[in-house]
Amino acid sequence: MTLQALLSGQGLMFLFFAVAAIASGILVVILQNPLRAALSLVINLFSVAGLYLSLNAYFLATVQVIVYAGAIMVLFLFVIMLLNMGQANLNTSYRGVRTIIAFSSAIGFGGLMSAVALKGQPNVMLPADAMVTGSSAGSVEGIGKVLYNPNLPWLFAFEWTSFLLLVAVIGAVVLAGKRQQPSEDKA
Amino acid sequence: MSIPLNYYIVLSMILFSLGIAGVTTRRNPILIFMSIELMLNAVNLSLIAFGRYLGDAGGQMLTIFVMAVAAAEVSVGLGILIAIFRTKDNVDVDVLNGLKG
Amino acid sequence: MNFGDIHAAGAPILMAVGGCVVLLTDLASKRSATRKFGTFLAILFCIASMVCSYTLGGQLRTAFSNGIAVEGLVVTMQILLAAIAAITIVASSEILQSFHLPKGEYRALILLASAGAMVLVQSLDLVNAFVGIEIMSVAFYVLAGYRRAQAASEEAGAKYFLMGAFVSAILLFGIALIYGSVGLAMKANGLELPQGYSFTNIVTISKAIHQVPGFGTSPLFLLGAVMLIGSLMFKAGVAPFHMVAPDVYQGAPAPIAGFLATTSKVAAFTILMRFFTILAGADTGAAINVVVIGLALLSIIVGNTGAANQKSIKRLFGYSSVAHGGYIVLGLLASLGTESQAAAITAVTFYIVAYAITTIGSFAVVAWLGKDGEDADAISAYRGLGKRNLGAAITLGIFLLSLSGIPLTVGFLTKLGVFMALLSAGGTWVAVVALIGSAIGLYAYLRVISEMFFVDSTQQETSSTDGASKLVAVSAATLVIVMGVFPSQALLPSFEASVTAPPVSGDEVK
Repeated sequence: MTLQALLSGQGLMFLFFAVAAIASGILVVILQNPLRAALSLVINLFSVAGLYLSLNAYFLATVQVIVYAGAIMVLFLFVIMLLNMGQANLNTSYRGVRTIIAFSSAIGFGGLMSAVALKGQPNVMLPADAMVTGSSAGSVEGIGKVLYNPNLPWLFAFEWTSFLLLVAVIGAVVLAGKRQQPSEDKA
Repeated sequence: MSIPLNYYIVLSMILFSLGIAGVTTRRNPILIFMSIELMLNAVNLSLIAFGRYLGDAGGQMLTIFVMAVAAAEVSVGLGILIAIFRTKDNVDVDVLNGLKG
Repeated sequence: MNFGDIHAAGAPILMAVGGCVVLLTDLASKRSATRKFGTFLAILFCIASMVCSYTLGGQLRTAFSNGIAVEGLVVTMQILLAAIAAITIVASSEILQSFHLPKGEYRALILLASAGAMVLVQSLDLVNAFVGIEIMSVAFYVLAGYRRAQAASEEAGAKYFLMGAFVSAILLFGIALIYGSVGLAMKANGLELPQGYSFTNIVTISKAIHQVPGFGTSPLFLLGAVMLIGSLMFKAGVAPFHMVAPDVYQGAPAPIAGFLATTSKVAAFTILMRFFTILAGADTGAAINVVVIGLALLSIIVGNTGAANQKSIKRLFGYSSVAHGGYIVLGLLASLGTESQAAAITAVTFYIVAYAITTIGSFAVVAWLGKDGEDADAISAYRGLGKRNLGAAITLGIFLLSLSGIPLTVGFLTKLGVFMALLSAGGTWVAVVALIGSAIGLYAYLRVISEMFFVDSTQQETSSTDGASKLVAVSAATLVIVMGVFPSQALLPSFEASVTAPPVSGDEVK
């Protein structure tokens, strides 16, 4: 049954993106060069966006590509370049053995965690009508109708998220902004 | 024929564990932070998968909030890291050792 | 949505609006003219928030599609959080002045962090709890690193940020697993999701725990619950992620350190109390008990031994906050038993309030004895303080005695309450181990007291200019003694009354 599931069209899509996500995830963890690690993370984000598509989350797949891979990762790359971390001042005496131990234990830990957590969980499949009824839930319209519905709990959290972004804006200005009067600073 | 939910959850747990491995073995704060993004990404995947198989929109809603939080954390976190590199001119987490008992 | 809903969520809304107003007035007016005015405005909003909480009274009300729930416990904690924010703003005027730090942004961040903590405290849905905790944490990262151009403060901010973001990811994974396991269990057992509730609502989780057989011991849920509990405990500064707490408190200026130490504990432990009420009496196997006992005892041992030979007094308070987090967790552990639940919740509430007063006061002393905004951090600076500045020495002595749990201070009563609750819950050996930890802690605190009173020093008297910190420290010390000597008359009944209404049980869902 499982093999059959993976050999269907949707299964091949899952297989492709899952392998790409894990491979690029491993590269994020072990690559020496921060720039390459960041680009691997971009690939990882793209693969996961593909998985979102296979789960009918069209809007979030788009947001993932535009916001995550687009904006956030560009910020990362910008900072890496700004600090000139590309080559010189990197600690190159990285312990290769420790890397291998680390990520094999990560795969082991992930496998163990899944084995323990999913023990006794039935193999949940999509209900037969989910293809039809569930397909509009991931669209812009579907998301908007749920998110801004005053009779559902999400609106309250959404409003508070704006204050979270305000805090982030204040924080970024305070931390990275111009330093005040360094001559008078007694520190 | 569709994929069982457990496949997505196992994949998400593997990505999450990779993130944990990155956080614990990396020395560079920015690379640690990228591993944390990997973990958040794994969380989003499991949320959307659960939501899809439950026929519930909550998973996607939670994912939106996780993305907003990730954006906020990135702006503040990179601000802090830039500030500290301006002062210290070094990029190793080992230099974060001024505070000792 | 109606006026009642907005009233229920009014306290954090007022704090957040206050943050915006303070920020905008600071931008709009000339710097020198607004210095006093900005403080005044910020405190006004804190008081408005307290009044709003107070008028809610003790009865349970839910609002915003069951996203939040307010009752006596929440009201108490909201008033406490607003008070902490107001005191911090008053006590920070000296450091803002000395280091030329941006003032409007500082006050706005304090108010917004408090607003986030209040959202966390009152949330019934885990999504609100998560957004609240992130507002609080992001503001904390900035505040910890607020004194830029000073390496220690920046380093504190960076460490706090990396550890905090890591733990946020774990918290989120916990929420995701709880969401999935609750949903799958309810679906498999034919239980309907009530209209207007989500799978992450604490009421829904409670329903799943109490109505689905075997759900409490299902590994998917337990893994999620352990991740959620563990990461919330980190946010409160409990071991094993405790390593950053002493670093952060040493690196940040004293008033900020006091704010971080108290607000995080109040907020995180209150939501944990709420989460634990739905686990009480449920069959969750041994996993959660083992994790909670382990974290509590680890914190008590690590906190007290770490405090023992410190050279920096702010680090000492940092380790002490780890240890006190451990005692509060022991109280939470007692609240898992159905019979000891009421006593345990009272004990934990009282402990949190008393700890907040003591900690704010101790950090205020550190700022008070400092010079030009630099804290008096080295313990050697306190040598012979009893001869030079008797008032300060006695004030600090009171706080140290209260932290170590000596009778006649409030610290004794709070520890006693937690231990009594623990004994009635049947955790005798846990209480014994915790008592041994306290004995180690006693040495750490008494060492500082003996430095102050029994060691002579040739140091010069430094004349302090920080009147605000002095005021905060002395009034907190008075409160510690008053609450310690007259507990039954003054304060205990009000705490008991405020938590007799249990937060939310699973029966409410029809």
